[in-house]
Amino acid sequence: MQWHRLDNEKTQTLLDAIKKMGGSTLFNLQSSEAKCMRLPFTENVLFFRISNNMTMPSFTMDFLGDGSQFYYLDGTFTPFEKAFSLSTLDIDVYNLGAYLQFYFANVTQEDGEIYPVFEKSPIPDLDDQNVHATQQKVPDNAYVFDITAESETDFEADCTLFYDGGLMTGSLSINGSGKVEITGLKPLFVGTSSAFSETSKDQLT
Amino acid sequence: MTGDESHTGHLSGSFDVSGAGALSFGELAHPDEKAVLEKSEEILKKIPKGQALLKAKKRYGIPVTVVSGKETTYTTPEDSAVLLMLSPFYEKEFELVVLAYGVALRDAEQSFAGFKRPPVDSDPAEYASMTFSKSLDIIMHLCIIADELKEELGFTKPLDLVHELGHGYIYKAYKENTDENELIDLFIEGENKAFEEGNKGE
Repeated sequence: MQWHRLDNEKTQTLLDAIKKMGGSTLFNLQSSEAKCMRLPFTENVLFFRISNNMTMPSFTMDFLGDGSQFYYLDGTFTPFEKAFSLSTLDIDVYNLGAYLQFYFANVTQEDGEIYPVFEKSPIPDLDDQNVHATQQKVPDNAYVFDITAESETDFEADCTLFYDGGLMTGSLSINGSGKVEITGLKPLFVGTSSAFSETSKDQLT
Repeated sequence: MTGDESHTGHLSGSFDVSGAGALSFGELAHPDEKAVLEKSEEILKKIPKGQALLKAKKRYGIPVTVVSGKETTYTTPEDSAVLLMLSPFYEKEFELVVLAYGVALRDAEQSFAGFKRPPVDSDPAEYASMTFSKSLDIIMHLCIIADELKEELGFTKPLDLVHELGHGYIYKAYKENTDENELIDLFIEGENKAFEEGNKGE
């Protein structure tokens, strides 16, 4: 789960796709850097990022794609739906943390900046992007990330959340299509179990 | 509370609102572009700095295009146009759209008036000096627009953003009519502090 720089040929393929979408003036081979990252919860769809380093600050666009088709990550769930029609979305208890981190980094929330807080980032390379740049440290005895598998494709995760400026706990429901809903928000320290299952602990900390 | 109750399922349509030379964005273009720009300009017209920037837009024919994005922000591709990016929930924070639009116009105005980005292969000292001057000017305009939006129209989110971005000390200096040399010293001090804090976190 780390960035790999694209060679010129693959960068050109991405540039051609962006051009087709109408963004021909935003990037070119000379001024831009393109890279991609494998995602642990899907086989054939990769996360692509292209940056124009000639603008101040540098201008970046993110995509999900399989190398020939690309979907611009515009802050909604729509590109997830389109991209994962190209490949199976294979979420399990071991990669759920990574999926949630990726989801909240790319799907803008109506209530502001919201994301699950981990003791150790499942995808550290996602930590430095412009949105979701805030890093939060949670006291050990308050940290919670506890997963329940509702079925083979549906999960419930009780976790610590950075929620528009404060720390909360809440339940995240994740269904087979990858859609996430937040329920049961409470301020941190109030009625939390302050523990997590052995499975979650092994995989996510 | 999912993030999908928004506009992107229908990203398409024409976009000829924003002046000659506006970038052509096809599938990426925002469906509300025309309405967003009109509403933003109506608000900018009500504050002094906004009026000046709209005059500059007209004087130089600055092209503006709107696309969807994860957050509300802007860029000026090729130094010659404004690309305004809107978060899926931009309507809830429209005053931040106005702020981004105003600052973007100032950024483009700099270029149209001849104060362009230095080439990457220019002398490092000259590059740093020009980049520094441009950044300070942009931050000052961010503070001025945010202040006028609050003082004239009662919008508070832009000023909150100024502080969130770490420019509160520049805003304070602006409010205290600090002279230019002192402002430059403050900016250098602030940048150094941010740099050191960034290194500490690594």
